[in-house]
Amino acid sequence: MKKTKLIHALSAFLIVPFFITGCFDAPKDMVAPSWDVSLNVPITDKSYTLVEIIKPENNPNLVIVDNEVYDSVYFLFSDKIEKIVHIQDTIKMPVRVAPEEMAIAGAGGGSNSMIYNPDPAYQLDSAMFKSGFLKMTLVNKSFTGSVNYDLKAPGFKNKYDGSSLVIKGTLMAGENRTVKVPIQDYVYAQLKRGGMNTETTQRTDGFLILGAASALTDVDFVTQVTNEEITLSKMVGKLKRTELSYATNNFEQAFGDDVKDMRSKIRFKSTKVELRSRTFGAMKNLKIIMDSMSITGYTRQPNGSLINPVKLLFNGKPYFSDTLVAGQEFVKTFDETNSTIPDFLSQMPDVIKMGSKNVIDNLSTTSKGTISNEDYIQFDLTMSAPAHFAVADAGYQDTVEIEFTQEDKDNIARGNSANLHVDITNLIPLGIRAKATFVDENYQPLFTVKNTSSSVSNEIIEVAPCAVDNNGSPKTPSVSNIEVVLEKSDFGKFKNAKYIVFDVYVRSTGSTNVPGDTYVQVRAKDSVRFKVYGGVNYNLDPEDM
Amino acid sequence: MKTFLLNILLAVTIFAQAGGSVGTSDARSVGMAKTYTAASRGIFSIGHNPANLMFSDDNHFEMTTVFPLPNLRLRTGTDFLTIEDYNYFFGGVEQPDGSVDGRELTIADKDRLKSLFNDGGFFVADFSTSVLSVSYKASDAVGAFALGVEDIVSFKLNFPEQFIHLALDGNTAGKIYNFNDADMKGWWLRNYSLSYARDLAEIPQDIFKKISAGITLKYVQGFSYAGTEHVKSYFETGANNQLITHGDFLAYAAFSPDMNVKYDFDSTETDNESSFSPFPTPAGTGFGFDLGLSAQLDEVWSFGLAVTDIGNITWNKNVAQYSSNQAFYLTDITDDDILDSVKNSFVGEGQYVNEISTALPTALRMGVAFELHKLVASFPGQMLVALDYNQGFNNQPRNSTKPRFSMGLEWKPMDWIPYIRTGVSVGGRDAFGWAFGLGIDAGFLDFNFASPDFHYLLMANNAKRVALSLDTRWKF
Repeated sequence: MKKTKLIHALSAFLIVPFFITGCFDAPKDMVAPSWDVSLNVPITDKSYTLVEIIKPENNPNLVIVDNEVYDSVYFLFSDKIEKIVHIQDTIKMPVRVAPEEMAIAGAGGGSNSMIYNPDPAYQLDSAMFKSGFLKMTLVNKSFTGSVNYDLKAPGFKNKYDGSSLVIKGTLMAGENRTVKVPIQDYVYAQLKRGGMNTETTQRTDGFLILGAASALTDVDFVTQVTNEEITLSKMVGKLKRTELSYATNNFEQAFGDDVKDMRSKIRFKSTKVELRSRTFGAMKNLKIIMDSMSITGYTRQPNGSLINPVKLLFNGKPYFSDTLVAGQEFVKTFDETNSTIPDFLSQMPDVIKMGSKNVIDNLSTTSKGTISNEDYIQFDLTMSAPAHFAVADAGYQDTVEIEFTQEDKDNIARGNSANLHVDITNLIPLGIRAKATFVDENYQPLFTVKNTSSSVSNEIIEVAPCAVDNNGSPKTPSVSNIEVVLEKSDFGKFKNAKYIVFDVYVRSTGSTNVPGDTYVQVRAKDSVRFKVYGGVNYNLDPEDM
Repeated sequence: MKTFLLNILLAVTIFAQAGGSVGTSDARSVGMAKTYTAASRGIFSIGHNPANLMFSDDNHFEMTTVFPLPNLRLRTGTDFLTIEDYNYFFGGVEQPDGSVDGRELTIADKDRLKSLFNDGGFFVADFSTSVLSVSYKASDAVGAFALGVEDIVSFKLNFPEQFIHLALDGNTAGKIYNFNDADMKGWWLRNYSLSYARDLAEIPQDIFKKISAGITLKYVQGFSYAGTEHVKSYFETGANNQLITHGDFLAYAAFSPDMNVKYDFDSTETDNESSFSPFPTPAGTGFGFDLGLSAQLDEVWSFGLAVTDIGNITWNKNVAQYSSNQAFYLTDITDDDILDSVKNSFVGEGQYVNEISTALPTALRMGVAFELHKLVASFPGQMLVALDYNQGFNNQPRNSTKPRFSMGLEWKPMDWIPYIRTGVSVGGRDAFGWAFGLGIDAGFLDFNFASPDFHYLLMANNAKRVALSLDTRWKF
């Protein structure tokens, strides 16, 4: 009996599991499903001052001026336009065509003196020479005997031993001889003025030459003095009015690359151009007449040629003239009242060319000055404009390469839709209108980011400038609510996207398509707040995570 | 006898029965829909009502062992996903080329999946086993004794409903996602129990034919524990997508040193590898006890009352606490520091703590049983009918504060037909269960087999859980 029960029990234990397992489908291997899911997130909520957006250190042409007048206003400065004019080799005494002649005659000997002055416009109290020669032609007119001569120029001292310039020798009967004295070996100091020409005095200005001759017979000796062009390395005295050569300088990228897109779309207020000049070196008691200084701006074409010349007018003239006193700083400022600097700046020239002619002269007819060959004159021209302007749809285009991997693009292609809300509280008197176009590698447009909140076009993203007070300073922020959407088809096209082309137009408060009468002040301390949030609906496949 | 019992105890080869109001049990009780307070007998009384030890005959000895069949109790499954649902959602879709792709969920699919997770998703895995247990009833005057050891590995997880909505739909502006219903607990315990029961003949009364009382003392070793104390985390998506988050939770974990579990916050380098041993060093120990009363009104009616698993486990080795209580108002996800803080507020920061205490799955049990064939003389064979009310006092693994009512039948129509057991259980964590089981009384040996979720066996692919109990009992 117990055996029967045992058989029953074992049968039950065997049959029941068989019965059970026959009714079940085996669970399949797990394969995660995929589904569409929405993710809504805040992206950012931050305020940026303008100085955080436009960093002056990234654009040396922009400087923030913070004082009582300009409350952290940006200034647009041109690069310093610097020009240096060297005196080098311009102080010259020309060749005197007709020689000065000194004759000595007498029985057995004689003497004479002369004062040679190659250019009476110069009055040298002292001088050093860079080059040139005193040229003396000695003639013994006697045909019967030789003559011994002794010529001295007591104003000339040898640079090395301090000895006076002496020319001594003997000429045979009827002999001619030419002696060239290299003048750069001597320094010159004019002798004291006196009633007689002696070794210590001279009667008038010029190079004093004392001559003596002796012979066994009658002396008939002649010295003819002339010169080869004398270039002075330094002089003290009266300077001959000297015109320096006309020179022009080109200045490339005077305002940097960033602002040239605003050409003709921007009008500045309170602009100025400042010229600073001064002499460097030994020059003193002289004046520099700055004559016909001109400033011209050009637009550079891609082939390098310069077009559209714009002349900066000074008091209605395309040039200006003034006088710089050596050793003193010259500062001249032009603004919109006495120049056309606002118009000039509005053109944002690529190249600025500055030209000038300079004349060095004595301060007065009686004054004496000092000048050396090492001296130079420096001209600094700076154009500046506070960011106090009206700008009307100044546009620029920027292209950004999409640096997503193919895997990234494939993941993005799983998107169904996306929206991005951008709430902008703008306390900057500049607004933008922008369009973002995704293009392929051949720059063929694929799709444009759509803004469903735009009143202009659903392809335009618009941020309004803030309201300003009478001074153009920000008063009340503007609030712009932008909703950018991407549709399913956009995500599909994204696979082929290579670049995003941004077309951006900047507009100041009160300006539309042309600059208005409202000049706004763009200050570093003004801010814009971005509150960005959005959502994306995409196909989630856990297998790909 | 003492030496024998001591040897058994030291060898840790004897078992007692599991506690808790909803956990798996011996196959006889399981076949009766876990109705045991008044109906359990002999060695299967341990853990349910130790007073029932006194219902055995005098000088009666029982033992369970791995021979001829091991005693196993297994229960695992969910309350939300059937096999058919699983195969539909996670079985993929076969493509014409024979490959299998993941199913693309439609809106209707998502709605159905969400409906499956109404009130969250509960997952349970419960396993206990016994190699040998022993009981001996000497006499009514001396009482009955039992010794046992039981290993319990139990895990439960409540998946928050809102999390499913979040995963399937994403975060909707203006909606609050609350994860308060998230709960997880799991442990591996070993109970060493010593039971004693005796008649209370000293009590002057003339209502009941017999009143017995029993007590079980338990020494509990815990080898691993992980559980949440509370989860009050939530996050809200505001009108402008701002995220308001509040990570608030507290969780503990403890593991036997032999497991060499390395916590993520512990940077200590170690070359030790985990090792398995049938006798690992416990991470925690505790004491508990069961109290039971049983009363036999007459030959037909009997009653039972028990409170089981009164006590605690103190975990004091490798105890880690993970906690967070931080709120954030997030409007900028570009700030990595804040993002990290938000993330940390949901996963918490871990640290070692000296010790924690966890309650045993304390439960109150009340039951009544009657033998129908003694009431109805013409009833074919023998039928025991029993009713139970089980009330857990905490939500530890195998326990539920939701009351559970059950009714079980044990019918033996004829002598050669096995015991047929069935019953229904209502309440508790599983809400409903139809149990069925078979039992063979082969004289000195019982064979028992049962499932508390027999209806799922009949529903085949719509089954959400698999639960089986299998045991044998030697009787002398």
